[in-house]
Amino acid sequence: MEYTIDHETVYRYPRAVTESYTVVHLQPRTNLQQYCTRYALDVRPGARVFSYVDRFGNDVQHFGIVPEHDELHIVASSHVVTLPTRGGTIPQGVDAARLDADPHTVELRDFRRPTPYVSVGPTVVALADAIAPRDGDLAAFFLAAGAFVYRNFEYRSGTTDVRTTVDEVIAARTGVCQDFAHVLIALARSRGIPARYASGYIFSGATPALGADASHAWAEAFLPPYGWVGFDPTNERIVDDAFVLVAVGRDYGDVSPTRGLYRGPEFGSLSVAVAVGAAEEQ
Amino acid sequence: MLDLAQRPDVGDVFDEFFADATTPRPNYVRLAQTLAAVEPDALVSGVRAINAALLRRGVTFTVYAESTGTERIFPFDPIPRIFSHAEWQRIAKGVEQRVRALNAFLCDVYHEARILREGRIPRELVYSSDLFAREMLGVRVLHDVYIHVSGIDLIRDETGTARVLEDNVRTPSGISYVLENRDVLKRTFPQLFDGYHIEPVDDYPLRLLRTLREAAPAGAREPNVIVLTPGIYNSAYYEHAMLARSMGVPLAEGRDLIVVDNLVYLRTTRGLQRVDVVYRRIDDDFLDPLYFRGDSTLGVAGFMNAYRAGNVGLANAIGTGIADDKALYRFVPEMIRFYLREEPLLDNVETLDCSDPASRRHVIDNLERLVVKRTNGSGGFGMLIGPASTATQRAEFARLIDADPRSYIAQPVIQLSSHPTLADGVLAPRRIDLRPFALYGKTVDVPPAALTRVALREGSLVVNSSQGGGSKDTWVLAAQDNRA
Repeated sequence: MEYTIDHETVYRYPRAVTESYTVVHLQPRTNLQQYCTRYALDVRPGARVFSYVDRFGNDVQHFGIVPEHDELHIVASSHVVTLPTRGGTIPQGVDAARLDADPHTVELRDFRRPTPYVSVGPTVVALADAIAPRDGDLAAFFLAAGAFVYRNFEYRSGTTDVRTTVDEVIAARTGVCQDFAHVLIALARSRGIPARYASGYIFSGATPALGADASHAWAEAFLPPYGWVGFDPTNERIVDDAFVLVAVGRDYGDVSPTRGLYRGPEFGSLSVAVAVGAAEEQ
Repeated sequence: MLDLAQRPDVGDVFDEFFADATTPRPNYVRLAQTLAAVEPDALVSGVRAINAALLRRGVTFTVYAESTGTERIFPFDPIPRIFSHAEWQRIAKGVEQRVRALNAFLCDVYHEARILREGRIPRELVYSSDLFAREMLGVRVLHDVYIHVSGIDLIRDETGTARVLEDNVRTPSGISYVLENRDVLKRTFPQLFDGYHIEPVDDYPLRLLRTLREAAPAGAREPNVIVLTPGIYNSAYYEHAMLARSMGVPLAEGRDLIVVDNLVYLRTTRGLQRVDVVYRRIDDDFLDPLYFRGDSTLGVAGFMNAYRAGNVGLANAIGTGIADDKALYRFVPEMIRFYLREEPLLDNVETLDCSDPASRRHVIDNLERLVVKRTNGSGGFGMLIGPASTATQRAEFARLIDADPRSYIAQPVIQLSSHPTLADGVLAPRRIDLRPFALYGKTVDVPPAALTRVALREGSLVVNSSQGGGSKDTWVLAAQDNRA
């Protein structure tokens, strides 16, 4: 599929701020399953934009604006081609021995451990045990855990924020895509499966999808020999060519779409608008 | 007359001054003669004057663990410690080798991680360290130098063998005491220097400045260096100010810096001035609130990106702490063999890793015979000295170790060497250590400017300034000195 994506972020401040400094993860990735053929970042007030590749392979941009400003507009526009091969296979038959024998696994240590947004405590372990017994097929567990989150958690925005913990989401059984991704990652890690946070977009075409009007997030598990397999617990769906991957990290903290600092009043407002459209086949 | 013949600790302690009951070692013969003619009262009143002067000059440090009256001086002892030229050369070569290996380790662990892939160091040990800076993975630092300034703590064991007790490769302090000690000793007791040719220490700031300039990005012809301090409340603020002043470079806090278009600038009365090298005396966590602690007001937003792009040199690099994590200390000899293909010139102290179940059992069963240290601790805090501990303290440490074994190591109690030290108007043996400093620019420079710390309490083995330690002037005999 081919998509055009416009992702607009606007910060508005009650009084002028100075010396704002912003880091963004907005550039869709290019890998074997998708190509980002065009990416442009427009910043107003104007700023010189710099870029680097982080340790997860994400392209990151950053910029600073020194003079006074009371609004900051960031528009990321991209054109992405996704290939139908993604999500075409349902992984199965991955046991712990297979995982441990894979030479990549040792280097994925950080994806098997708790991280700031993904605690793996007794609550998570108990929930995992309620979903499936231990020592089973890890691929089946990952998919079952994702399905469990979809069926038992209610998608409701405004009930959580960026500081909500995995245990709180499990207790409340409500949240948004980011929370569900963190819960699924925690469940996977509780079984020793390397799991990471994926941020990006989902195209809501013939089948309407939750999370299509904003940045989306899902979980990926490392399941040899398949490699990284994505599952979207918000829509109970293996990640396929309707998804556009922007960035991966240990959790949300590594890949938040925009984050920044400035000198000025403490509170401002943030509005985000995302439009994902199917591009005309050329 | 000072009674130098009073013999030190009984038993197996190496005496730095005396070769046997009455004979000073060759470097100390002349000093012994001079001291024999000094009136004890003159020594005592001179030291009192020196300590008062140090307090007036503000050569103080802060003890964080106490809530009141925390500004203290590091008490000065007037009896200098003397190294022969050859002995110092051996130590300097060993320190240089160690620093080169630690630097190679950092370069490796943040890039290819060969030493982990080849199983020489357990990956888990590195990744479980809170000193491992993941943000530095894949970041090329300028000139591949991470450890521009280090302080390697050495002790001499019962046999007189110098051993490394710990490496300090983050923001080691203490050089200001070295410079002050030499200055006050010369002014107050010039006669002690009679008959000695010793290496100067006062060129340290110039050597440091040269090292820092070599850390600049390639294009900078006259690199601008600044010293970055957390501010006046930091325990080593005096040293930050002294080094900035003696190098003739600005002393700045985070709020004095700004990043514009990925370049670092100092805000001055004449506008923004480009900064090429930051000699930082603040911890990694406080460098850039965008990448490290978001609640920090000490840092500079955007600094990490300017650094990542190679637009500013930083001494020391971010993430050097993994190299002095005490759980990795026991692998330093292996690093020397692995990266340099050399045999270690300086020995380690035997170290037990509590994350290994068998070692943990042994440590907990033998606490009264061991020294236990927190792997990320410093300043003598979070430490148990078995023979001097109470049963309650040992029980507490057994609990702490069981709860978090990765965070503790244990070492046998090393009887540090002793050196005559002024105590209550007489000379008495007190235990000492040594902190040489290494400067890593184009090459590794180990200036003959080392800090000797002394445990002022009788029988004590703890030399830390925050724990009742003092310091001595440390002399390195010049090559032309006939005792060299």
